[in-house]
Amino acid sequence: MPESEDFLESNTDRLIEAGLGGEACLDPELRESLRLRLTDELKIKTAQKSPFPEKALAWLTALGLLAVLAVLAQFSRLGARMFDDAVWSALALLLLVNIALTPIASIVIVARRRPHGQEN
Amino acid sequence: MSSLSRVSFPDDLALARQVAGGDQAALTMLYARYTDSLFAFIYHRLEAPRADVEEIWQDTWLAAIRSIQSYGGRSRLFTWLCGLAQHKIADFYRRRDRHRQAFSDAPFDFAGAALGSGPLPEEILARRDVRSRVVQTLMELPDDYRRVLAARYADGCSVDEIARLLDKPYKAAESLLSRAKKAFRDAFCQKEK
Repeated sequence: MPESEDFLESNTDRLIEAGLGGEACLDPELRESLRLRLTDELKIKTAQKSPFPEKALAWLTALGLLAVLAVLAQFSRLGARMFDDAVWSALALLLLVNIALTPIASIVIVARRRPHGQEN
Repeated sequence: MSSLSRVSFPDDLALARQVAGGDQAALTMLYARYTDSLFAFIYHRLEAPRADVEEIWQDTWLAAIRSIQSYGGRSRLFTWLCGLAQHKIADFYRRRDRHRQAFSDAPFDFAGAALGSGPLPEEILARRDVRSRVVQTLMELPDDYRRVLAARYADGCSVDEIARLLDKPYKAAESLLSRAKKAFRDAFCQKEK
């Protein structure tokens, strides 16, 4: 075996030994206590996750908006002013109801989260 | 499709997703697999009292659990954990108002190149960055290589003992050890390029 290969072998041995040196060992009690803490942390994190399908809601909202725009465009194209007024009134009513429901929705969301102990 | 093709470590990604989904068994597996090595990595990386090392190790794990869903499988899970640890170490030095990093990577370049040219000087082996790089390299090896190297160098087992441990013939254990050492050497030198 050439001398360089001898060095390669012995240096690799020494390098690995240095990296796996015993002084970097972890206290078993500390290891266990962190494991328990992480388990708790994961439980809290999982409970905090919203069960609401946010992506699906975004897609539905986008599709709904597109549908409304398509209907409005169709009415405009036909020149039916009578329908225009009715549609705008309906939209204004929807907007008002939406604004009125915001504080109620907030209270419901907070009330649903509290039993899981998520608020700090 | 494009995001899937960028996943290089699907097993690690699957484990991370299980943890992100709240799977306690997956968390136990993740923790058992990486916690000692992560501690060793931080220990070698940080020039600080042991209490600080322990604090950063704990902070790193907490950060990992809180952001596990951001792991995308493009690097090994252990590499990702080391990345989080690096951030914590940098924060630690910033807090201590020390305007230098743990060390510079630049002087490290000669360690791999010098492997075959003569006895590796003790001062290189004593360097914390070299040791932490060894830990990181070991963790990136396949499981069977890592196990056999840990048995040989951390537990001090003879080849005969390793053969019994793995329930393999002596020659097979010797060959596995040899392949593991070569894989380590290649990965270690590759890291420096």
